[in-house]
Formats: sequence, structure tokens, C-alpha cells
Amino acid sequence: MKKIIVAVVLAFSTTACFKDSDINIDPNRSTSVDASLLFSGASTQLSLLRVAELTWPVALMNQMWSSGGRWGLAQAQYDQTRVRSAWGRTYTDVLKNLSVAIDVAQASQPVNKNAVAQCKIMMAFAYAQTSLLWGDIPFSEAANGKVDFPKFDRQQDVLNGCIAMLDEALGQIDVNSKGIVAPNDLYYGGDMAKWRKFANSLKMRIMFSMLDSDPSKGAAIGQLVASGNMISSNADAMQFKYYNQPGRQNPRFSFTAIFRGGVQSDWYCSKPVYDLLVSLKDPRIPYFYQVGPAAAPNEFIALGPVETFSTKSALVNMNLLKADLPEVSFSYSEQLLFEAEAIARGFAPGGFAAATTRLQAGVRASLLSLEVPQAQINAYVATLPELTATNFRTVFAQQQYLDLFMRPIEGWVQHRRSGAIGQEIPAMTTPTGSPVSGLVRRLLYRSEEINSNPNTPTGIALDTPQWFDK
Amino acid sequence: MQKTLLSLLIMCWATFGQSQTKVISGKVTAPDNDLVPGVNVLVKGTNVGTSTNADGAYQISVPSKGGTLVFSFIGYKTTEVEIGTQTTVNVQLQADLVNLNEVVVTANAIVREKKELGYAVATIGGAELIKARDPNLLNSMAGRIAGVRISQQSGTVGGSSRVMIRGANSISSASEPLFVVDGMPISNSSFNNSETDVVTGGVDVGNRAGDLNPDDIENMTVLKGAAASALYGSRARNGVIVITTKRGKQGVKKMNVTVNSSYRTDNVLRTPDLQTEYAQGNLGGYNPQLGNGWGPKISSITGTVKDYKGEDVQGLKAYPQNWANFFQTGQTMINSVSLDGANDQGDFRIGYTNLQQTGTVPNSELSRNTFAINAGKKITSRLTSRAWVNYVRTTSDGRPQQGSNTTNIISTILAGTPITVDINELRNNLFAPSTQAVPAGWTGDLARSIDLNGVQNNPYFVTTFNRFSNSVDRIYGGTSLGYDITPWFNLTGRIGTDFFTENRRSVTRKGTRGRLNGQFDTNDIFERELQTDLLATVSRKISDSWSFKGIIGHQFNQRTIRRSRVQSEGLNIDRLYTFANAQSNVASNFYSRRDIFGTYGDFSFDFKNYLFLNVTGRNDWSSTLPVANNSYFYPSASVSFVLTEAFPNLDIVKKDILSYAKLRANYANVGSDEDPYQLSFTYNPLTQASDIYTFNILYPIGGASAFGATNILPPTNLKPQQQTSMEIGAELKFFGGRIGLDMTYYKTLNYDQIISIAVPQSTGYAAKRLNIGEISNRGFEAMLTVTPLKTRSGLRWDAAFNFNRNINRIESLAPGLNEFIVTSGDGFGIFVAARPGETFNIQGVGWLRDPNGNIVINPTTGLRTPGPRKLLGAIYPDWTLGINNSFSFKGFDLNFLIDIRKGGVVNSQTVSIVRGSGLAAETAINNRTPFIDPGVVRNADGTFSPNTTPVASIQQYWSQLDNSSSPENNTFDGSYSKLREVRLAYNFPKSIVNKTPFGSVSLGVEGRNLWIISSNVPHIDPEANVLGTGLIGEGLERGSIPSTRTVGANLRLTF
Repeated sequence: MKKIIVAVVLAFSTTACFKDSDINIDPNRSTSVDASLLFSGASTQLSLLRVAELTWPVALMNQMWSSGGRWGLAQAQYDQTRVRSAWGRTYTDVLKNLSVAIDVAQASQPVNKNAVAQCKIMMAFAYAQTSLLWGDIPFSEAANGKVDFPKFDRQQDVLNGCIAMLDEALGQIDVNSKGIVAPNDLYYGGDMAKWRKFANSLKMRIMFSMLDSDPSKGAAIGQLVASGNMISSNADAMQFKYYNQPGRQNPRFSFTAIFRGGVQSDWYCSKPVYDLLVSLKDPRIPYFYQVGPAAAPNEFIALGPVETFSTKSALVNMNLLKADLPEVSFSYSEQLLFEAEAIARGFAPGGFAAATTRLQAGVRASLLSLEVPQAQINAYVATLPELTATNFRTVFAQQQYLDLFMRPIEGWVQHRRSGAIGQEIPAMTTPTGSPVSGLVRRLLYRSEEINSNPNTPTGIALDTPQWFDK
Repeated sequence: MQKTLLSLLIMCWATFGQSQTKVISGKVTAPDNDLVPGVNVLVKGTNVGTSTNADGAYQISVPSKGGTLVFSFIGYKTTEVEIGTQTTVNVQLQADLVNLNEVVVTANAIVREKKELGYAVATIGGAELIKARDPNLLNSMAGRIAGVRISQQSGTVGGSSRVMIRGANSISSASEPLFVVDGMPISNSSFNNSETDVVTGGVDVGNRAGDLNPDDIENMTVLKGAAASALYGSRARNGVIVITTKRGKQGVKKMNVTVNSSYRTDNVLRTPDLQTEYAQGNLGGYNPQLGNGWGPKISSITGTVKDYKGEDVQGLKAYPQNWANFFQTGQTMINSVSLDGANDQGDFRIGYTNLQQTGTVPNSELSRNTFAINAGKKITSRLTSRAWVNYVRTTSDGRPQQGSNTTNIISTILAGTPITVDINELRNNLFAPSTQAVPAGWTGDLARSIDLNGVQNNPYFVTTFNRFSNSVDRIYGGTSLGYDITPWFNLTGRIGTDFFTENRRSVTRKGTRGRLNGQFDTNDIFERELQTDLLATVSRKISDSWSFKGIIGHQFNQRTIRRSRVQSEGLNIDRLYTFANAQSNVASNFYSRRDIFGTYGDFSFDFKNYLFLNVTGRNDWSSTLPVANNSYFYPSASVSFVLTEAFPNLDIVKKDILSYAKLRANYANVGSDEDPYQLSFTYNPLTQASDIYTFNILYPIGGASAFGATNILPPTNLKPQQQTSMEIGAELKFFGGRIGLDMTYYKTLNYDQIISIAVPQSTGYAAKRLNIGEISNRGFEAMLTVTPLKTRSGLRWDAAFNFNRNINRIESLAPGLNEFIVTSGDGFGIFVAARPGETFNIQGVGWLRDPNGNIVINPTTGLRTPGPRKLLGAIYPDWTLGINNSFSFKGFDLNFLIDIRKGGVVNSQTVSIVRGSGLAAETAINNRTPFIDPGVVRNADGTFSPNTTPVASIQQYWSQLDNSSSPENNTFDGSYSKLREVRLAYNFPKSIVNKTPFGSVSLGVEGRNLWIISSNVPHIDPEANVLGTGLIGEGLERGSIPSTRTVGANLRLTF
């Protein structure tokens, strides 16, 4: 009897082991990948965040738009709950995948240097954006899965690190060979000359944001302007394209299409921006806004501190929320205005006369992108003042802010750098009922990070200025 | 291998030759001298058995040297007769009130006497299940078994029910018990795509255990602990529900015919209490564009105004019956017929059941057809065979969406319908009139919306056109072959399978508000489980006092899942749901397979039939673990001691004060594996990029496809997960069974859990897979049965109390990790969270409070201020109690069941919405005069003083209490008591039945879920839960379809 038991047990134990078995090899996922496939995923995710989750709450808390009191949203909420996935997705779906893509490109024979450069430029773009939203962020130890609790680097270190990363990338670009090309390079279709221009322009934008706290960046900006090779036409602009096809539409359109049956009734005209436009007799009013359904033609009624909408309240123009509008990461007009500012500040040669000319070109490009008729553009540009030492800061702050009207992330940076605390342009006051007494100056770290990373700084209020914000 | 088999065969052959048998026959009678058919006759200490035929006669082969025959039948005392040299053994049975020798089907279809078992089991007879037939079998168990908690997830037709036995055993997966039918595990899956799909707009797709047909079930046994897991494998650690299907029985006639018909009606149990005074608007001003109740008093609107359609009307009026009018009476017809029979040579049963159900939501329906065949045959006196097949086809249409988004009828439509809208008008006008806002360029049919903004869909448009439909074709069954090598040595082989295909399609018509261009989602699901078992069973008497039973077995189990999904958007032609008609089709597919080999042994020793010792051991090899760690062994031991049989001469035993006393104890350890494919660093093909809103970007975009690296860092050295459990219990019967008490204390510790533990997202990863975390359950369960009344006239009152208290605790997580988010509740940051030292809790933003716990009020607005996140309450109850009373008198049988739950919380989105939108009755009290919310305000010096600022408006007050600012006010104590079931059955007496062509006639009237006796949750049934059975967590209501009250009647006939 015992023998039988032993025999049976032995007989069956030998059948089971799974050595050299492929049962547990995942048929749904791959263990190798091409860098370009990771790159297209990271780019799409970053663009989606910029154009959706980092648009609505950010545009409202910064009073760029008004909510009309709908969706339980209000400018005064400084609503952090709706910026919920951007932090995590930036690190896990954008930065991590770019970092893995760099490893893959480095490991290929020969090393795909252009792909490495493209990924690094995107990383610098994403890190700088994240820092300018949250302040100090994990950078040097982040997104590589090697450090359990990444430390939070100081904002100046992050931004300088981004500049260094861009320099590395610029050193690796070889315009005569291929990197990540179309269709996976959704920005420039593999045109490395354009990537180089964007990298230089992005460097300049980061330096401008640092300028108030690190005046040494002025000289660096001057050098950048002098050496050129930056965005120099609309064709060079860094844009992520959307299409009028289901699932590929600009999410700003989808929001209205899905929640409002295609009738824009969520995003309203905010008084600080409207007042600025009126004060400048700016022709962009009917391009930025559409009148409320019950309002007379050209009866634009902005929502002030009380955001309760009526059928007469003016709304953000549906033409700016079209399905196939691209997400703009860097525009030609933005470049021109930066250059003009560099000249006006004396970082680049030419003095106020040259600065004024460049300013006019920038404003012209800005209005052209909205398809304002040429005659109106000419008339408006003619009203722009000659720049002087006393007026140039105000004029730039106004024009740069308006130029970034549909780009709340950059618009917020611009507003915070436009003047000392409390003297930003356009003037804004703390909305009634805000959780803190000042204007919102940063996003709060997500609870997911706080709960899992002991290095997360705590106790920072929404209105505490970031390092760059002086 | 071959050699071993050969030697095995030779040995078997050798043993054949030695055995010699003789044949015994006889008759079995009852105390009134009636012949008793169906009595089990067993040669003691062996597997050799038969049962008496229609004439109460039997015939059995026994070893020539004799032995003991055991005669057992429910309701009679088991009788043992020494055979000696007799060839005829006639027996008269004695009536048994205590029923000591109840038999229980345990692991692998092995029948054991209940007194042998060292662990807690509970059995529900099939007769109980068909007196009040619920389409989902699990619901019939609610409140009947201590330690088993059933929660119905929604009132959706064919909706799912969650089962939890003795608390949650895992931090990372739902602790669902294993379902076993006739020895074969079957699927209870409830696949519902992603968590996001569920919480934002999934339907309750039901769970596959709902396919089981109550009419085909002989009995259900619940093995609550892990002690049986040696034979079932790891999945038994969450308990096992062992189902035995009906077999043919020997009756008076050659063939028994049973017909059972039920008719039931369902009505919604509870709808929100609405205010009827205020129209839609904002801050008291009328605005027909809005879907709320924040406008002026309806009575104050006189003269010509625009209504929600934009038409001029004279004043407005309230339609308080909108909810009630929307839901209709659901109807269920269940008809079943079965044919069965048996003789000495074999048995057969064929059953067919048809179920047709319509739901309370218009146009929702379910249909189920079940065929069951079970046949056994004695091929020779030693070789027996059996085969069973069940085929189930379930189809449903119009299951409504739940969750927080889009076209959910409850949360975004009914809960946003102004009281001035007549829902009957919407029923008759599905399409938009010209006065409603229409997107530029739109020409097709457009849903009439409830508001002029064109946001809120007409609920009838949704239920008429936007349908979720599915069909499931499922076969489960198996076949077995047993051979008695000797009367004490049996070899059995069994192979079984359970597989189904499910086709789902969810369509959204062009013109639906919010989904203007139309879309549809197609899911094809295939699941298969295959298991083979080979068992050798030895039953021997070792000495006069000792006997032994040993089982050694081998098991192979394979589970395969294949799914494909196509999400199609943008229809060119209205209502044509073909891929070619969609502007975009995004396809994804998934395949997984896992194999487990196991060998096991189960050894029982029986000392004088009152002391039983059982030890088991099992080793598994799983394909899902690293090759170095894929083998794991787990043992168990249990002991059972029947005090009353060991000491029959004790005074209290003799006097029948203590009629039966059994003490039991067991210890078990269970190892388990993980889902497949968790070991490598992988790159996933992406179908979409997403953010918190639902405007996902689909790949390919601009021609580019995309991949992403895994967000879960794979483990380096994964080990099997472990569970240890112990249990002690006592089963006592007093006064000849008038009072019975069955108590258990248990303790379970799960450790080395395989969990994807959250890591800082800044690492680039969301989680890391590790062996980590400990979770424990300890608890007490008791079942008290009392027969307070029993008269000679036949009146009898039985009461049963099922009590369970379970304390679930997360003992530890990873070092440095103080919280683990188990499930995300919805878009507003409400989570089910695990924290060390606590059980699972709902976590969300709480109100800011001063050090004394007073709510801090914003001094400018008078409103509460959101504060830090906090735990808002445990999701599981502190204790549950089921009270079942039954009265029987002369063929009448009245039964009512009260189900009580104490503790645990529920967060309700429906409550949040009806309050936030000013539609709930409480928002209208006191003419909406602003009041001072009791609380404190923070002074400049940091101290607090009582708030004196009234709320800016009642509208702002309730809007602030919305889930999106803080879920605190929408999280309620989930305690309730319910009248779960009332039923009255009548068995017509023989005197009447004999005049009919029928063998027996019974008639029943039943009501289920009749009355919420008490609840602390306003507006909704506290039992609802959006997470269904697949995700961890309970207590989240997200626009769930209201549960139903059921009333029905049942007629059962045999021929």
C-alpha cells in the first residue's frame, strides 16, 4: 500500500515544474520596443495634459477664463482636485517613457543620437513646465525607477538642469541624419533643424522665467538671440496637431461636444482680461469671445468677481475650441515678443527702436494667428506705443499675456513674472471666497506623492511664491 | 513515469485477486412500517454503498468476511447493523429530531458525515432555494448563514451580488469565495473592463454565479474556512461554496416529473424624497435652462413664462411622481420541468428552466434558458460512471448605465430633472423640438433634453436607444469514472470544464446629448477552466476502535481568458452599428492562461466514531510564479470530538438535556500564486492617452501608434502568498434538538501578499510589485436555532439567529507606506484606502475642523471649509444578524427573514446630487431661509470662536456639501435592518393530492426585500454599491439603479 502511495505521488510530482515553459510569457505585451513608439506616446500624453487637464482648472484659477459658476467650478476655488492626474502622468507616462526611450536609443547600434536629443528636448520641456506649476520637484533622481524616494530639487536647479539637458541635446543633434521621424514625431516629422530651433527657443523661454531671481540669465538670453537658430516663422512653431476625427479631436472641443451637446456654455469671459482688452481698444475681443445667447451683437458682458452667469454673459469663442486646432507649445509670436523683450532689456543690441519694431512684428503675428483682418491689425499695431524705459515692462506684460490667451500654463508663468507680488499685469485681485488671501501661485503636491514620498515638502500655501516668482 | 504507472497497475491487479464478496439484501421500514425508498446503505468504513428502491428494498455486495451496514436517511436516526453471517438484513428506522448524522458534501464531491468535520460548514437544501426563487441564486443565501455576507449590488435586471465569507483576505484583489459545482470549480467572474469604466459609466453586468439555476441544485454547502483547501487549492482560502446538482432519485414510479412555476413582480424599493415647491433656476431666479431646483417657488411663478422646452406656458406646476412614474413594474416568469429516475443500475435527471424577466427600468430585460443533464451508471459492480452537463444561455438587453458620467439615468438624468418637468411628456416626445438649442450644422434626430442647454438627456431616449445588450453561452460539466479495486480501495478520475463566451454590445445613438455622433462598444469574452482530478481513496478499519480514510490525489487546473474589444465612434448612418459605419474603431485584445499542478493527500482517522482527526497536505506548482519559487506546500490539521458519543453515560446526556455536543478545531496554511504575466519589464501597446476627464485621445493619431513602458516595476524574487488560519468551534444541541447552538471563533492572517504597492509617481512608476503586507480577520459567528413551540397538533415554530462579527485589520503595509489606495471611487478623489491598524475605509476630503472637532466655517460665506483628507468610515459592517422565523402547521409553512447590518459606511452620489441640485426635500425646508451653520470661525490670532455668519444662501450651503468639495456629508452610517423575505408555502395533503393526477402539489407566496425597517441613509437603499463583484470595496453608491421589492407566487407539481 505504502508503495502505491509513494509511486502515485512520485508519478505526478514529476509532471509539474514549468521549467523552460512559455506559459508565463505575456502574449499581450512586449519585452522590447522601438524608441519612436515610446516617443509618440509620451508626446501625445503631454499634449493631452496641456490642452485638457492643465487648461480648465488652471485657466480658471488664474482668472484667464471665468467659469460662470458651473460644474462646481469657480475661479475662487483654486481647484486642485481637477488637476489630479497631471503630476503622475507627467512622471509615469511622459518622463519615464522618454527616459526609457533614451536608454533604448542609446543601446541601439549605432546609437540613435537624434532620437536621444529629441527625447531630451521633450524631457526638458516637461520638467520645466512641471516645475513652473509646482515649484520644487523631483528632477535629478526622478523617473528612472532607481531611487525609491526621489528628492525634490530646488526650482533653480531644475530649471538650470533643463537648460543643461537642452544643451546636451543640442550637442547630439545631427541635422543630416535621422532620428525619430514621421509619423512618430508628431511635432516636426523628424526635421532635426526644427528641433534645434525649438530647443534654443525653449532655452530662452526658461531663462526668461528665471530672470527675476537670476539676473545672470540676461546675458545668456543675449547670447541666444545673437546666435540665432531659434523659431523664425510660423512653420517652425512647436505644435501638436489634432484632427476632426472621433478620438483625435482637440479635447477642448470634446468637452463642449460631450457635456454640452456642442453648445459652448462653460467657459466665460473673465473681467481682468476683458478690461485689459478694452483699455487697449484691442480688436481681439470678438475673436476671444462670443456674445451670450441672449445678448445683442457685440454686447460682451464679462463675469467679474461674482461668476454667476446669465444668458447675456460672453463666452470664450467657440472658434478657439475647434476640433482640429493644434495644441501650441511654442508659437512664432511668442518668440518675437521674447526677442523684443530681450532687446528692450538690453540683452540684445538694437535699443528701444528695434525693440518696438520686433514688438510690432510679434503682435502682428499674434493677431494673424487669430485671423484678424489685415486692416484691423495695421490699425491696432499703429496704436502700440513706442517703447521706452518707463513703459516697456507694462507693454510687454500686456501683449505677452494676451498672446498666451489660450495657453493657461504659459500665461500663468507670464503673469507671475510680469511684476512684483501684487503688481502683476493685468491687475487681478483675490477672488471672493478663496482659500488663501493672495492670488494662487502654485499647484499643491498631490496626495499620492505626499503619501508615498517622505521627501515631499509640506505646509506650502497656495499663495506662497515660487523661487522664480518675484 | 511509465514504469511507475505499470507498477501501479500490477499492484492494483494483485489486490483484485484477493477480494471476495457476498450479496446482502433486505428492506427498510419507517416507524409506521411504511417502506422507505432512498435510504442510503453503506458498508461501514468503505465507499461501497447503495440506496433502497421504491419498495424500500436494497441489495449490496459486502466482503465475505462481513462488516457493518450503515443505514441513513434524513429525518431518521442512522442505524448500524453487524452483518455477521446474515444474507438478509431488514431494518426499521427510528425518527431523529437531532439529526446527528447529517452528511455534507465537502471537497471534490466527497461526502462526509458532518460530525467528522473539524471546521464549520453550513448547508442550504435545494428545497429552500426554490421556495422563493431569486434569479440570482446568491441572493437566496442572504442572512441565512453565519459568516457569509451577500450584498446585492444594484437593482439592475440580472445584477450582481457579492459574497464575502469571514472578511477580506487581500489588499489587492476581491476576496470572493470559490464556487464548485459537482467537484469542478466554476467561474464567478464579473468582468467589467477597467475601474474607470465601472465608476464612470459601467453597467452592472452581473456575476457568473448568477447563471446557476436554483431548480437544478440539490444543496449548497458553504465551507467557511481554509481547512478544505488541500483538496481545492489556493482559491479555497476565501471559503468555498460547494454546490451539488440534483440527480435522479428512485421514486414510486419509474420516472418522476416535476414542474415548478413562479411569477414575480419587482418594484423599486426606494426613490429619493423630493421637494415639490421650487422650480429650476439659480439663487431663487427662474431659469428654464437648468436641471435643478434652485429657482423660485413654483407658486410664485404666474403669468406667461417659458418652460424647459422654451415654450410659453401659463405658470408652472410640480410633478412629484416623476421617479415613481419612470420606473415600471418588473415581471419575472420562471418555469422549470424536470424528469428523473433511478434504479440499482443508475440514475438520470434532465432539467429545463426558462426565466424571463423585465426590469424596473424601461426596456430592460433578461432571459435565461438552462438545460441540465446528470446521469450515473453502474457499469459493473465495481465500475461506476457519471456525466453531467449544464448549458446556460443568458441574454439581456437594456441594462442601464451606472457611475458618475454621461447617460446614467439616475445621477445625471432623474437626479437632475426639475420638478416642473412632466416625465410623461418626455416619454411621448423623444426628439428635440425646434425650440431647443441645437449644435450648429446638426441635421439629424436629436434627443429632447430636459434643459434648454441641451445637456440632460431625455431618460426615455436613453432607455429606448442606448442599450447595453449581452448574451452568454455557457457550458459546465464533467465526467467521472470510479473503480473499486477492493471494497476499501477506490480509484476515481474526473475531468470537468466550465467555459463561456459572452458577447456584449453597448450602443449610443447619434443625437444623444453628450455623445452627439454616436458610438458603440463591442466586447467579446471567452473564459475557460479545465480541471482533471485523479484520486485514490482508501477506507480501512485498523482495529476495533480505529478506522482510517486516506485520499491521495493529483490535480491539473488550467484557466484561459480571451477578450477582444472594439470601441467605435462617430456613426455615418444613424443606428447602424457596424465597424464600417464608424469613423473610428479602436481594437484591443487580451489573452491569458495559467496552469497549476497539485498533488495532495487527505488522511482521516476515526476513533470509536467520536474522535476524528484529519491532516492534509498539498503541493502546488504554478505557472505564474518565478520558476525558482513556483512550488509551494501547504498543510492543515483538524480535529472533531463528539462529546455526547464519547460520554453517553453522562447524566445530562442521558436525560437528553444535552443531546449532542461536538467540539472542533483546525489549523490551515494556504499558499497561493498571482495573476499571470507579472514578472517581466514589459512595454504595452497603447490604445489611448487619457486624463481625468473622459476625452481620451485614441491611437493611432496622425498615423502614429504608441507604446508605454509598464507602470508597475516588476518583482525580483516573488514568493507565493501565504495565509494561516485557525478556528475553534462547538456544535451543541439541547433537549432533543429543541435548542441548537453552533459557534465558531476564527482567526486568519494573510502575509507575503503579492501587491502592487504604490511608489512615488515621481519615480516614473505608479507601483512596485512585492511580497508585502499583512491583513487579518478574526471573528465570531454563531447560529442559534430554537424551537419555542411544537404541539401535538403539528404546529411548530422554529427560529434561527445567524450572528457574525468580523474584525478586519490591515496589520502592515510596506515600510514607510502609511496608506494604500485600493480602489478609486470616482473622479472626485474618493477612495477605498487601506491603512495599517485599520480596516478598509472610505477616504476623502474632510471638513476642516478646529482642535475640538468643530467644523471651521468660512467667515465670508458662512460655508464649511474643505480640509485635509481623512478616513470617513469603514466599509465593512461591525456585525450582521439574520433572524429567520418559520411556522409550520398542517402543510402550511410560513417563513420570514430579517437581515440586520450594523456599522460600515456608504458614500452616496445620488444623495449628493439630489441635494446639490436643490431637488431633495430637505433643501426646501423653512422656505430656504439662510441659517447659521453651527461651527467655528478662525480668528486672526489662531483661536476659534463660534460662527455667526449665516450661509450666503441655501443653494450655496447644499452645493458646498457636494461630494466634489467633501464627501463627508454624503457618507452615512450603513447600518440597516430589512425584512428580507417572507414566504408562505402550502403542501396539499395526500388526501387531496391523491384525487389528482399529481404526486404532490405545493403552492407558495413570497416576498423579497420587502421593507427597509431602519436605515440611516436618506433617499437610497443603503445596500447599493457601484464596484460590483470584481473590485475591492463596498459602500460606494454612484447613481445605482434602485433595488427592488419583489412579490411572487410559486406552484410546484410532481407527477
